[in-house]
Amino acid sequence: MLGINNSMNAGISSEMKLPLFKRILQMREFILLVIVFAQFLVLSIISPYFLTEENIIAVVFGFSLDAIIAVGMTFVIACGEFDMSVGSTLALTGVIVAKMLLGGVPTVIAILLGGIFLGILIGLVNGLIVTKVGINSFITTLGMQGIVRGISLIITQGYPISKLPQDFTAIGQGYVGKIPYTFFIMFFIIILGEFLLRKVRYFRQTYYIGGNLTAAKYSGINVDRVKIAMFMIIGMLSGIAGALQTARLGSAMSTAGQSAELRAISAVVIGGAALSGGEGSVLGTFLGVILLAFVVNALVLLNVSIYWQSVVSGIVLLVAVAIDILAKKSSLSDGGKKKA
Amino acid sequence: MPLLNLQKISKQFPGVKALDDVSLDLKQGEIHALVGENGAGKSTLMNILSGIIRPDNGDLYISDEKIAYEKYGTHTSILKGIAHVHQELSLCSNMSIAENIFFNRAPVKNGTIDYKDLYANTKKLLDLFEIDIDPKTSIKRLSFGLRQQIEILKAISQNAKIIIFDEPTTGISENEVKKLFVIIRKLKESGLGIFYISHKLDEVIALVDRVTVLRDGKVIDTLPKAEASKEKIISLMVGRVMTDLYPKKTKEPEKENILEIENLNKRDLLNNINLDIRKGEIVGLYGLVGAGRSELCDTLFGVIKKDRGSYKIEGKKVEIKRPEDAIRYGIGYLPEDRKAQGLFLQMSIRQNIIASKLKNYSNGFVMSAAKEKSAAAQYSKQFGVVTSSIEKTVKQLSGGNQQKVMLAKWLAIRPKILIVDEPTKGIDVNAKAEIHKILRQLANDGVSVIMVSSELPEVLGVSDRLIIMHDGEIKGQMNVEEASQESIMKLIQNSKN
Repeated sequence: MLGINNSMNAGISSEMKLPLFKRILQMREFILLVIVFAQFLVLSIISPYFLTEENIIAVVFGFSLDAIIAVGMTFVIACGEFDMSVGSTLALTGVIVAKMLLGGVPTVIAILLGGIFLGILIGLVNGLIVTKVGINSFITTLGMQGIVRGISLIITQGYPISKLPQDFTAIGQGYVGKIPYTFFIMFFIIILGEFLLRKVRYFRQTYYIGGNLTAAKYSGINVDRVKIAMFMIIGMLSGIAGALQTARLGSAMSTAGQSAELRAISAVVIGGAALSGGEGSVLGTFLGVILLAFVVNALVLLNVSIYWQSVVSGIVLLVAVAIDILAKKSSLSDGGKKKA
Repeated sequence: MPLLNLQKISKQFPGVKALDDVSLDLKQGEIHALVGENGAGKSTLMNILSGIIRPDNGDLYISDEKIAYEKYGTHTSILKGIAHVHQELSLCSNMSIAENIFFNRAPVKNGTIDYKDLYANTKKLLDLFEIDIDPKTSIKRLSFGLRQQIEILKAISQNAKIIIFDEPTTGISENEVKKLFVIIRKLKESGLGIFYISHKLDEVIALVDRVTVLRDGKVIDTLPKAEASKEKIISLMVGRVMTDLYPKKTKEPEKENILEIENLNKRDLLNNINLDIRKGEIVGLYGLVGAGRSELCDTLFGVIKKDRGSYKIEGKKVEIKRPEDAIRYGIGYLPEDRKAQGLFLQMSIRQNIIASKLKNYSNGFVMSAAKEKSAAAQYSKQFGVVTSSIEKTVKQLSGGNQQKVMLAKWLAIRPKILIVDEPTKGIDVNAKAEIHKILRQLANDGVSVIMVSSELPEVLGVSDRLIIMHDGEIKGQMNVEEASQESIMKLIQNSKN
């Protein structure tokens, strides 16, 4: 239909192709993979406990929920927005699911309504405020963070909700062989998220919105609708994480998911996204999550006080971003020299 | 001794020679106007004076002192006594008049700001120029014209010797213009030198002592007041041989209308616009900045919501509420500011070209890399985008190539109507000619083009028909054969009064 001249195409695409090897080397995901692998090697050498079954399962459990939320955060950040309310949403959905279960609601319906649907609803409100009222997303979701956390405190009065039915807790505590269910759910979400953002037309629009909001509007992209959808998705994923967390612990706590938003944002940024939007991949984010989890695990294995965790995580984030910015600056100044 | 002397200043931007051997001087107590079309080099020249841009060649003397460019920046230019009153003012809107005028030089007593003294000083300055307003008033409560006057006072209080006014009467009321002229004449009497940039020639003639006309980065002539008539200035501004520069019209537009705009209204922007556009016709929208041309385009494309009015496309009534609707009806739009509104600078040529209709490059919901690549390659080749790879980021391209990428992006939707707003702004002569050729080719293929341009020769050279806008209204239209530059300029100058 477009009347494409094949020989001409061949000419351009052969020019365009860098050697495959070089292109892979330049990929952020590849660099991260090397770092994560190096971490793995170092940890298994310095600590005999690292490769034990309990430790590996603990690490996987530890990062699974963060990874699920971070997938949504990748979408939202690609649009150039933030969601600071994910941790609170995780807590509230967990609490509501637990309340519903104790009230006799069947497990599946409790998860669908109290976890997934409630999460989507919170995301919808965030999205509507950001796009239609026009409050920036940082403030909007910071406000939502307080509201949602407060509601879960009011409902629980600060006490954990336990004695949940066994068919529910099995979702969080069950294994296939030695691998927890949670891991499969996370893995499925990662693969799906990677496919959506890389391949699917609707999600591709997020890069344009984050790249240049005005130009996206002038290109006929319904900017508001896409942003709202992405907030709803991250809300939904937080709700899923909330239900899983509650199932795994066998009880719901209003304090669950604290600073989950910071871990998610860190992972997305380490994974190669720009906070101004228009960049990022789910695979990069996932590797960012693992990288951070290994750092925390290293501290545990080396018997460093748990209070150091957030100090070290913070340093890792800053170093990663600093390297990124410095690398970009040096490549920019090269470009300037060429022009002159 | 001139206050300021520029000798053989040249400046090359990627793809454009912005200034070419420009020599110019400014005397004490003189008001010197710079006129020229957009892109003639006025702003570049003034940005060199205020230290924003460094010239490639040429010398700059301020009070006979030769300026070393390495040590000359925005800060040093202020110390040397050059003040630039921009169209976008640089005041802190939450602070008072006094705090703004003496923003970093407020009188201090016992380590804190002495407000009594500050307000007294400001009051003195305000009185000197007969501006009757309390120094404590915060800037955000002032009209644009008053803010401008405050900006001028700020410059004077920093001992400015040379003040540059860039389109100072845009967007201020008649009375404020009068007041401004009183102030400017006072500055002249006290021995300051003044550069005055304006498109409004009546003002220029009334106010200034000398007029320098710039065109394509060169000084065409400097006229003393006695010789500066409107006709003469206009002919110097636009005078160039056009027949060779613009593509030949080989085909008449068809008889049938592609688009009919009826009674289009938008409060404060558009007033009762009625306009028919024929198939295969290039319609040039001409007018001054602020005439409502871009607003008309934005409204038609659904970026601005209209208040009243209706559109018919190919005789059928259509509703355009959002850009998506416009694209669905076959309208494409190259907005004026390609970096802010048009391009995704960090993204590749391929990603930019496919942005206008992702649906065309997917199988169902899933994007097809093969379709993306082949379409992007085809269109970038067809419109002569010069690049080694379609995966290059658009930021790396020259202005002309960026503009071609935008054209490719819109032609990829196979438009029936293409709106182009300043399609050749800031790009070099060759790229300009190529874009003109593409537009004419499109018209020959039956696409209708609405072209906004502030360059009169371009409007005359490319369009079939001319629409002249002023103050959000259509003031006149004519076939291009009947139009001359002089008649159009006169129509605009007259509709202002």
